[in-house]
Amino acid sequence: MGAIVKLLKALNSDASPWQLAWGFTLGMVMGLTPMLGLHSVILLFVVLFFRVNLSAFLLAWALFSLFALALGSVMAGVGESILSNQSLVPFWTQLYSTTLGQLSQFYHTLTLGSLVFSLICSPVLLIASKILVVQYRAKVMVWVNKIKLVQFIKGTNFYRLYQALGE
Amino acid sequence: MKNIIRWPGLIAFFVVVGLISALVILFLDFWIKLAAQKGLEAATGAEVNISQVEHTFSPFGVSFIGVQLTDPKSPSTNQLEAQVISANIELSPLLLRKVIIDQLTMTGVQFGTTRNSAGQVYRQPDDSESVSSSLFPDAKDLPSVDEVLAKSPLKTTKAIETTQQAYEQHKDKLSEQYANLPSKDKLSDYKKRIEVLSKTDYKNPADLLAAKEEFEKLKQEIKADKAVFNEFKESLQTAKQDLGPKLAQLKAAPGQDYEQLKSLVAGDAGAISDVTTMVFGETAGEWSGYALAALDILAPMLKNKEQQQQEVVIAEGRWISFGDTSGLPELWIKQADISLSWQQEQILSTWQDITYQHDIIGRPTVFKVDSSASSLWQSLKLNGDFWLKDSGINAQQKWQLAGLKLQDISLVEQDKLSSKLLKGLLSSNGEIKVNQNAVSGDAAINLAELAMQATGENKLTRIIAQTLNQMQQLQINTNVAGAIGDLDLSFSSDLNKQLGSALLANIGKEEQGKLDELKQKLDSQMQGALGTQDSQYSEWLDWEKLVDGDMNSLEDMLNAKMTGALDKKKDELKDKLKGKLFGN
Repeated sequence: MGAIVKLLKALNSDASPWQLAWGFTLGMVMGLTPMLGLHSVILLFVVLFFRVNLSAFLLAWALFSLFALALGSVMAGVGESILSNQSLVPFWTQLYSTTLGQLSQFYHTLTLGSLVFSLICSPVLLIASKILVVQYRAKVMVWVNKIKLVQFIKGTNFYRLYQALGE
Repeated sequence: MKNIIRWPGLIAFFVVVGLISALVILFLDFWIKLAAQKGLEAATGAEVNISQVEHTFSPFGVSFIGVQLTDPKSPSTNQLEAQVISANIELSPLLLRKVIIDQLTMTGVQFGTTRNSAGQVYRQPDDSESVSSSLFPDAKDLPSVDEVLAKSPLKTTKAIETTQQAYEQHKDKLSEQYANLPSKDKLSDYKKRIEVLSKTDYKNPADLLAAKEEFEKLKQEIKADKAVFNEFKESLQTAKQDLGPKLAQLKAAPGQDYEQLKSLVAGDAGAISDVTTMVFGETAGEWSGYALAALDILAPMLKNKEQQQQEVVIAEGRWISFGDTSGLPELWIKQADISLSWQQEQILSTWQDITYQHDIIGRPTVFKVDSSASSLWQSLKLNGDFWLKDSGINAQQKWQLAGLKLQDISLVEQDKLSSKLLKGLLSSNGEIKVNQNAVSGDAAINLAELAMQATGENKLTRIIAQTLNQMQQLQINTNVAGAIGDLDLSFSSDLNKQLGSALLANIGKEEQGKLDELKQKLDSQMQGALGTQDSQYSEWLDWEKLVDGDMNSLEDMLNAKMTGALDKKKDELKDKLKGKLFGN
């Protein structure tokens, strides 16, 4: 719940739309792929080290973890077809014999399949979520702020107190 | 750049990673225990308990203390229990998801121990009938003679069948050939024609030449008929050679059947034929179980592990192995020392190359037990190997046990019979082979210096008990068949024979009546069949005599009479010629 509130606050703040969009996208990758793996550590590093919106990341992570349950077979099938592709076998064989390759766990059908699947979806989600944030701020947020009830609530002491506690 | 990078995030990253690492290391024993339990449960199909886990980092090793593997066939007992299992594991192959154990040590290993509470079974094993479920029948309802005859594979019946088959096989051919033999009239016609030719007074050489030509023609006809006789005689000889021994067998069969069946009529067929299994089967099965533990427990466990690797849920993904240069199997225990506890004695076994991917390492798993004299046995030697292939398990095992002291072993505890082995010496040797999961082999179990205590509750079981109490030694032959994980053991001994004699020695009026009835029925069966076959056989012998006479007659016609007549005529012509030349 806290993540949703913070996300709404971020949406309504002057946080960069790209920060929010990257948060959604990286959260999606984190949610769709198995948690144990080198890719998760790298994702965590990227999310924490770069100015990615954490609320968007956490929310997308939780949301896409649910999607992962339904899409498991499809993504494992993607991994299976990539790993069993004869032209790629020499590459995987070479990777399999290295420590980095073993740590990557890319010879696990679901790990590779889900990562490839989420990376393919990433540009679409990144651009779509950026557009949606901009559109939200331009249309929905302006429309919401114009509603008299909202103006009234914002003007109350209770709202000011809530804002102060939230910061 | 400053807008992109969040420096406090870097600290947060290290804090999060550090915390996770600390959690893993602090609770490493717990994670190892969890993983080991899950892995072993998947392999055995039943609950696995591990009391405690300890680890060392340098060299990397793990010790499991108090390990119990529930027997899925009997959840209240452990298939295997070990006090301590220690393993030194190579770390670098672990990154390749390969468990390479340089040295494994198992101490305090026991089979079939009782669990504190029944373990859970996740995969139901195939049901196999226990020999102990058999119950001894009452002797009061003796089987009828007809029942015994119907149930028993009789030599008399078989001999009747084979004799009939042999007779049917030759009958038609011989009858047809006999019918086609030259008639008596034809033979006497030959005789007459030869007489005419031989007695005619030939006036000139031309007549003689014509007579000779006619004789040659006649000779050809006689030869052709003789060939028909020869052919018939050959067929007759073949039939005699075939049917003769079978008839002799038929005559002897009732006597043999009577000897075999008389103990069954006096007692009970089922009880006597299987008494070795009923009295010793369960215990001998347990002993065999120890000897075959390596193949019957470990091999299926390893095979399950392999299948488990293959049969993963698609949605969870699967690990695909690519031909890496290291050529290592997924699991490889290079050397293992396993110490088995049995009645305060320790049996040390050594193992090499335990794996389920023998094709990768190119050699089988080899195991060996060589235990010198102890307070319980004189010597125990066991060695074997197994190789797991895609097509199944190939294995072999030999063992030699001498002078194992047995004491106070309960053999049977049933309402009608209870028996206990007070003391004895057990020796056993045997060999089994496994070819693509199919097991075959034999074992001999020798029991010497026996002292048994048995009691029976009815006439039959009292006789069994008496026989057991008098027994001082016994050899049980065990036949091992079936498949790995589902061994089928069968037992035989001379106990059945001893028991049959004992039953006959205690025969009553009713049983004697039945025995007489049995003898009479067997004899009448044989006589019924023999009557027909014997008369047919006699007919064949008569045919042979007749044919012999005719053939002699033909032979005489061909050789003696015509030759003499021609010579006489030649001499006459010679004399005439001399007279004309010299004027006599």
